Amino acid sequence: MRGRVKRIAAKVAVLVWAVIAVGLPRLAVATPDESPAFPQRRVLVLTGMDYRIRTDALFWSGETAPIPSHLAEALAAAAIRSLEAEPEIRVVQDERLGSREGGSQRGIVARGFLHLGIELYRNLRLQDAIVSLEKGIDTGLAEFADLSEPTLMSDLYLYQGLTYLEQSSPALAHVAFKNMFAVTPLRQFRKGYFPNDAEKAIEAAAVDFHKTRTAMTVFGALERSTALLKSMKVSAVLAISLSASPEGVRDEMRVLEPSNQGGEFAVTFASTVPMKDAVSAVESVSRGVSAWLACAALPSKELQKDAPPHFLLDTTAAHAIYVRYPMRKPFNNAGLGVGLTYHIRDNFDAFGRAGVMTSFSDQYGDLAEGFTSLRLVLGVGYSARWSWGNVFLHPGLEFQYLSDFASTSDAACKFFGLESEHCATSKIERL
Amino acid sequence: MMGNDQARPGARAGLYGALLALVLAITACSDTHLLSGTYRSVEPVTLAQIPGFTDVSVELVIGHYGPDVAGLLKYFGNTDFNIPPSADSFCRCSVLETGVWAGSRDTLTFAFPSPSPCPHPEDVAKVSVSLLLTDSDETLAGTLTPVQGDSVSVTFVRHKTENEMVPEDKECEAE
Repeated sequence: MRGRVKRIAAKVAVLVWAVIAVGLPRLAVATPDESPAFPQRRVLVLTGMDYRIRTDALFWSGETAPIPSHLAEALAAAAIRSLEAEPEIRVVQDERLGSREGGSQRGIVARGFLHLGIELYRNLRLQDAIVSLEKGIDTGLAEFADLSEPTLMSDLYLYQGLTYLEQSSPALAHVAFKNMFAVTPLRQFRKGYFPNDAEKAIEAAAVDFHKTRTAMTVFGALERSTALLKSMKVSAVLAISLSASPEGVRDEMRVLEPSNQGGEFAVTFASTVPMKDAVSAVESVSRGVSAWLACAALPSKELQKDAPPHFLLDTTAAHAIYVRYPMRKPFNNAGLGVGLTYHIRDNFDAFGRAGVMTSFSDQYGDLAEGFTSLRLVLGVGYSARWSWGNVFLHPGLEFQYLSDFASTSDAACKFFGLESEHCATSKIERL
Repeated sequence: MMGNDQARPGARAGLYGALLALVLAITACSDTHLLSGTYRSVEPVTLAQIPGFTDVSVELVIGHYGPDVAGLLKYFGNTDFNIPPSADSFCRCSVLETGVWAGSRDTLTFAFPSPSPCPHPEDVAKVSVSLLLTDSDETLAGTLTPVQGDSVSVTFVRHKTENEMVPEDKECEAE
């Protein structure tokens, strides 16, 4: 037999390898209380607030108090009707804060502090009264009593203001009275019930609130609104209000929900429409709700996470050029691969992958024998998903078989063959 | 990351194929094997300094690998290239030595040992060859120059291309 027997050496490399790949960002919007059968988005609708404060009619006289307008509540009811027409929306009303969702105990502690504060105020223990009333206010705000029990919170602010006045702290009293109008903007008082200086202070606070109120007043601090959304397990809160300005009455609608940028809560929809009459106001509210729903992230519009198949078969075409090589010119390698992945869980899988690559001749034909590699990879894969992309970690074992590698720059070896008498062994480089 | 990956497998395969073809086209070059094939002398060659080298038809068998060239010279006693030289102690072929292709000048140079006497003594005289590739890569024309001898003009015409060559073309029986 001419030449020597071709030596075949199997080189098995066991490598632990990891691949981290970044995938395309996938929009993820939280949808609490999502039912698999028919997902709905919970939306909290606050009681309509009427900020059309008549500073000239804060104090009434006579047998009975004037009946306040309920137009704002009617507009909120119109918004609820529009929302309830959308099957993917489940409306939650803020009345349920006290009655259904939060339990019947909500506001009891704050009310206790109120009664204690009033008693202390009447006994002229002013400092103790302030402490008690402030505790009542803090407790009430923590329980969102300003939404569920506005009258309670209004009384707390009222007596806080009165106590500050008795303490000769008119500035603090002014703030307290403004807060009172924030929760009960249409509150009126019997004329003469309070001392004259108290009536003037209340009137001044009403004027100040009327002039300086912003549309965000209904939400208060954003952090607190976020806490409200979480405690109510809703993903949006809708507020309707009426306000008066020299140009006329306006109805305002605001929606607070997670924004698309990072999931922070923000006012994502706002509309302010001049009100002609009650009918047109109802229509404008309905249009506003429809406009928000058109762009709102409803369950059916959200990207659904595809359930990964249990088995995934994939094929690969590969091409490679080695960076270092003993020849004068680089040589091309091409190959095919096949992989099988079994998804054990959503973010955990086991995989096997096999591939073969073989060489093409280099430009000068220095690669004397074809170079073939076989590769087998077995491992498991983990994945984690974030808003900015996916990260994969695939640890495993890799087995490789590499064929002999022989190269020469001697033309006679190439022409007559490596086994020829015209090709000296020293002219052949083997790896 | 499966959704888009599975969306258009055909387009992806086509893209990979095009990239592969581009890489192969960049890294490969047919000019590096331009000379490979066999060539036959148009006229019988006579080198007076070499005994028996009279009216010998010469066939070049060339393997071309970039700047390097290897191959054989086969000698025949007739222009049909089917009868060995009639002279005694005259080799039927010689191995081409130190073949160099200067692509920028289209010039092939090499040497070969004198076919006579055969077998070659260690101090066998060499013949230097310089050929110019012309006529649409089908003709090699130049000179054979024995050591301490006069140059002889010679023209070779391609007989086989690289793909037409058979293993027997590379066989050389010295005697």
